[in-house]
Amino acid sequence: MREYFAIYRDSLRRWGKGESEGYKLEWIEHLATAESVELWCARIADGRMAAGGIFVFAPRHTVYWHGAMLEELAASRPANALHHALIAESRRRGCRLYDFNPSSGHAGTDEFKRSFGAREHQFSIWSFRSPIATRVASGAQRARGRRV
Amino acid sequence: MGTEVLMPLFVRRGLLRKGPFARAVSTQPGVYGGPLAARGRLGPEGWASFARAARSLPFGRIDCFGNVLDPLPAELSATFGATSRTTHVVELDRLPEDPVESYEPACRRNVRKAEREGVTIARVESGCRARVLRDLPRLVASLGQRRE
Repeated sequence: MREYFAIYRDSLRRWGKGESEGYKLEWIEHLATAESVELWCARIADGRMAAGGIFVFAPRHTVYWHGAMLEELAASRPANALHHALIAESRRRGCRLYDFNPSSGHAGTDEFKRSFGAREHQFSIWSFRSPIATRVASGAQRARGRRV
Repeated sequence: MGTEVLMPLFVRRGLLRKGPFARAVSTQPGVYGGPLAARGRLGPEGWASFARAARSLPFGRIDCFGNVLDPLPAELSATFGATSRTTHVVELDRLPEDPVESYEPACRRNVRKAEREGVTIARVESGCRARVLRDLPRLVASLGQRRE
């Protein structure tokens, strides 16, 4: 897990983010111990971890929830190998969908996902707000409207 | 018999962990991490349980990723606000025998290159299960709605 966290920190650096902006090791450890959550990794020939991802498996649906890659080993294309293997694994388990999840605005990520033949699907993020939070949000929206 | 729904939530730490401004995030319904009914689809009754339970949680806002395979029933849409997002999915039952054939040429070359360079893919077993299991109740919010 620590090995994966190390390459995640390398990815944060590549994305121009500070360590404080990312997830903590404890969060990744929590997530990866949950039922149906699996950490998979790609290793180069000498055994070093080059890329990894946290995948959430459901009976019909695999979700790629989190991923990271070590830049210095990117030339071996570990991320391509990882997703290729997980697409095959998801099919073997009887899933219908391999879901790359929305991108967080990292350049090239959408293109990378499309290169696997992935198609765009619209979906919604549903937000439930408490009555107080609803009033606060409405007030903020009105205030923004007055400023425009 | 009602529906028991289990919904692990990602919750911010610190002062904003609870209260009218606290925010919690859940992943796709039907996938571990999202509102989950046993191992199947959430269905209208499961969604109704989720909507009822959401009102009783100590958060100002709960965001829940939608599931391409199991969207929120239209009659419950009014309970929630929605933000449209785009995800990328591979439809696994449409793949050819060798998934690589459906990839774009560059991706195909990258997968082959990784294979030639000896990149291997494996699942990483968590070495911290015993320690983390103790903390799972903190991670998992159970939204059981059971009727006798």
